[in-house]
Amino acid sequence: MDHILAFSLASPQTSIYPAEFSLPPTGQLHFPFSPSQLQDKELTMGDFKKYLESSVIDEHEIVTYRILARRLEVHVNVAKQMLYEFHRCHKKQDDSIYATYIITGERKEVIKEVGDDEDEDEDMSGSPFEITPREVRFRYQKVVKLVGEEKLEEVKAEIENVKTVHVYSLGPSRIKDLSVLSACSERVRSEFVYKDEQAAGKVYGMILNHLATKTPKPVRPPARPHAVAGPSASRTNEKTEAKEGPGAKSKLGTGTKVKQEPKTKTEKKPAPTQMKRSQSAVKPALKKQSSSNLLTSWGNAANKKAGSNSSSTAHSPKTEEGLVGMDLDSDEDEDDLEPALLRDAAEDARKRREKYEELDKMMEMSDDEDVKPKPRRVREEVSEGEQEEAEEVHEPLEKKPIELPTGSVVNVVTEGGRRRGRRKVNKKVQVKDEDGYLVTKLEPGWESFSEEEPVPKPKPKPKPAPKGKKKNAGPMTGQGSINSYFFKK
Amino acid sequence: GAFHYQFPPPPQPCRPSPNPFPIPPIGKGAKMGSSSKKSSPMDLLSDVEQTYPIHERVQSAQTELEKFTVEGRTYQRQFATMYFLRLVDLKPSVEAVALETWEGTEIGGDIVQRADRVLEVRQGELCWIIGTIYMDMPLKPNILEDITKDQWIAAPPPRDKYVTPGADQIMLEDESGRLRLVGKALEKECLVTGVVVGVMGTETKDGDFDVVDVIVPELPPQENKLDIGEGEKQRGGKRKVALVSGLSFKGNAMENFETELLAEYLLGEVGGVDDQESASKITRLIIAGNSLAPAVTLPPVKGEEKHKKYGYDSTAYNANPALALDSLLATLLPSLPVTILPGPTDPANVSLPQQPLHPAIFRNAKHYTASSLHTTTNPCCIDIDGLKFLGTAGQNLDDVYKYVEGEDRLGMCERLLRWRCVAPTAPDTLWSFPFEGKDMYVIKECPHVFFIGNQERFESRLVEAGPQKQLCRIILIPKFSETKEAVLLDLDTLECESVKFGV
Repeated sequence: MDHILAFSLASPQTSIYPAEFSLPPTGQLHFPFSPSQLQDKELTMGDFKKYLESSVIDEHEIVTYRILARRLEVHVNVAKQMLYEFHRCHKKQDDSIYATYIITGERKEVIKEVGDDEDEDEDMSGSPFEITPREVRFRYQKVVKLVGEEKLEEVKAEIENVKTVHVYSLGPSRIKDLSVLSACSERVRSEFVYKDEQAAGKVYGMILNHLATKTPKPVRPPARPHAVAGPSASRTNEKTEAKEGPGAKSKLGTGTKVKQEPKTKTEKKPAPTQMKRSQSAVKPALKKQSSSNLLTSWGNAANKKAGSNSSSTAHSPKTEEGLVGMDLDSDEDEDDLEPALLRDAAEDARKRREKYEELDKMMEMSDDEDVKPKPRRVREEVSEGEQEEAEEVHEPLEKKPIELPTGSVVNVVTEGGRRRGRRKVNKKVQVKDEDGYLVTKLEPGWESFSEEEPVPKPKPKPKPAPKGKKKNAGPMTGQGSINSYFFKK
Repeated sequence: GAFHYQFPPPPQPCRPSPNPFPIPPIGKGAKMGSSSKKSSPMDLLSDVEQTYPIHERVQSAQTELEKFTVEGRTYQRQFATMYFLRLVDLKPSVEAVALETWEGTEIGGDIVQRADRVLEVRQGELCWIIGTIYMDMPLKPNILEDITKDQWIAAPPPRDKYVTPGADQIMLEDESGRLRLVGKALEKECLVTGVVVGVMGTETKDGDFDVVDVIVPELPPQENKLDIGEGEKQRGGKRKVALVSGLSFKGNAMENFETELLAEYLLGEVGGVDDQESASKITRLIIAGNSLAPAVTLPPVKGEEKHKKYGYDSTAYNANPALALDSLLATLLPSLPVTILPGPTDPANVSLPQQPLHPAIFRNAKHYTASSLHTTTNPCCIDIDGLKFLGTAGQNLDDVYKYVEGEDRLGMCERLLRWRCVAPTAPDTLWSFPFEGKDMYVIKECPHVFFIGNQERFESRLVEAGPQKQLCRIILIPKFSETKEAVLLDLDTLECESVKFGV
């Protein structure tokens, strides 16, 4: 994962340093390294000092030896020396620079015997220590301690065998709670991400382990059309177009249409041949795919619609599904860099969305039905001539504002022994009257059905759930017939 | 006082500088004693050519002995069969030891006989039998009491120990029946439910069995016995394994800084050249459970109950602990192979044996599953460079602790080895999966290292016992979040020490 974070160093950094010493920009993958490259850098006494000055004094940042080593691409031990040197020089001038130190060593500790007052027939065989009861025994406890500069001597005195003392960090002011340094470690993790860890480690002094290999991210197959968030701008535009009220729609339609045209034109133009090919191949697949994916993608499409619906600025209601979907999408986006594929996918997605919206309209008991042809036509105008074939196929389906009788079934598809589709049923709607009476009315509405094979698949179950929620904002549905749960012989 | 290292004059002439200190002759292969970096001078002009030695980590091979992975978890089986399987497994070994110890023993003119089944014990007859121990303790969690109490009172706080001296009864069971045991000889054995023992004694007129002597299976045979030598030559310091447990990530901004120090120490960044070199001898890190702190969920405010999908409110999920663990692993993995066990607070199944953590938890670290990252079961049985490691995240020992009096956890751990059972109290008070073919908790082969994670203190003992003089190093790994200690074990000498990180 490449995190290119904006590093907080002031932009004039590039001008501070002499030309020979070029500071690599943050997160840039600078490898592979070779010792000769290091020599080329010609580090002079002044360079690291300038860097530290700008970081610690000017920017008021805490610089640890790890950050310094990675930034200047030197060994951590050299970085520690640099920090020490800088601190030493500046101690005279500026007293406020605060250093923290690491002390490693061994501390003498008294061993507290656990079972001192217990029964004396404890089995002490094989104990590593020489046992003479009631004698105070010592052991050496290895310690690694981080201390602030004022406590350095005090802690050093506590530790009997001091092995190493070195500078851990330099900061602009006194640190009371040393845990703030964990933020520095966080910085190290996020800013310095290398593709080849071993080569990087060789430079700054990590213990190398060549057997530690990273399996690369698996190459994902080209994103399924209904899941791509890709050129969402164009799609959301279309969606908002379809969704808004009739009056505003026409105006918006024309407005966006103009905007759309150049965009879609530029999109489509470079690869018309690919379009044609993909279209013909996609068409029969599309029909089946779209209907079969009706249920599976209904949730996603509905979510996305809801997202774009609640204005482009507002945040879509972030359901778990939506979030996961977004993540997937962004991932897939990164991988799927082929513009042609994206365009194809966008095409398919667009067509599918049109179909969904049309069916959506049919579900709602609104009078929008006669408005439908309009946005359709607008969209048709927008598309190129190559689209007309596809449009024609969809047209009879789309231009269906007529009321279907109860019991009619739409979009039936048989997949793997299961019949799925949408059918019109009479639903009971309960409404509270003016007098306060609860009135039950029978109204036509759409519901999806799926006749299952002997082994019911659990997958469609969660899909109908969000779908159901979206559609039936009101009271619960009355199921058409219980027979839908039994598969027909 | 601190050491002061006198730097010899530099081997090559350097560019003149006003620097009063001579330059340390650091180069590949040059010896650098314990030095204080603080007083080491600096002249970067020659530092550029000079390089600090880059260490390569010592490698060790790890193979997992797949004993504890459970395929197809069905809970349709009876749990009692586990005890039977355990008895069948351990009976021969107990028999062998018993015959050796008690054959021909005579007490008060009676020669001791073997009673094949519990029901065959006759009053007044001196005999010995083999069976499984069952501890009948009124304070043990009892499901029937829990259900009845549920209606009336708030649940009592969980107890530290179930022991009530005086009210507890020890039973011996086998396929045929059950017998109550009494006698002074039992006290020092500190028995728990599920241990297979042989007892010698006689039946009293109350129907109780008065125990004279108890034997346990003792340490199992050990393959590949390690020869650790008696310190004539310094054989240690070449290969080490680091063990840590109880990291307990909460995902806060100000996380334990000691974890960072631990990571830097293991990576070989912190410390002087000596420290870094000794860190390079650490071949792998074993994280023995409890890497994530238990989730704290606030009860929903009345009236504001969020919609629950699938029974839980998904918006209350906090991914930060897992992300924090993942970033620590991602830091360590390029350099250090890590073996991670699930613990009682980790997102794994509750009942033993816990299955390996799912790689989906590790967003970045999972890329290393092929090479450095090893997720194992709990308990786990792995072989590192020929040394057999058996370890758990602490649930087994914590449960045994509740059955016996005293605080001597190291003794309890040693007894687990002697009883040849990793988790004898499963499935009585320790939730476990009902095994079918054999009881997986029986220790067939004596491990070289037996580690238990998430304990109060760092304790360790080298157990040398048994007919083959088997060697086993028992290690109780302390909780890192509390004690800030990590354990280093030397693979050649089986010595271990702890490193404490402090702020």
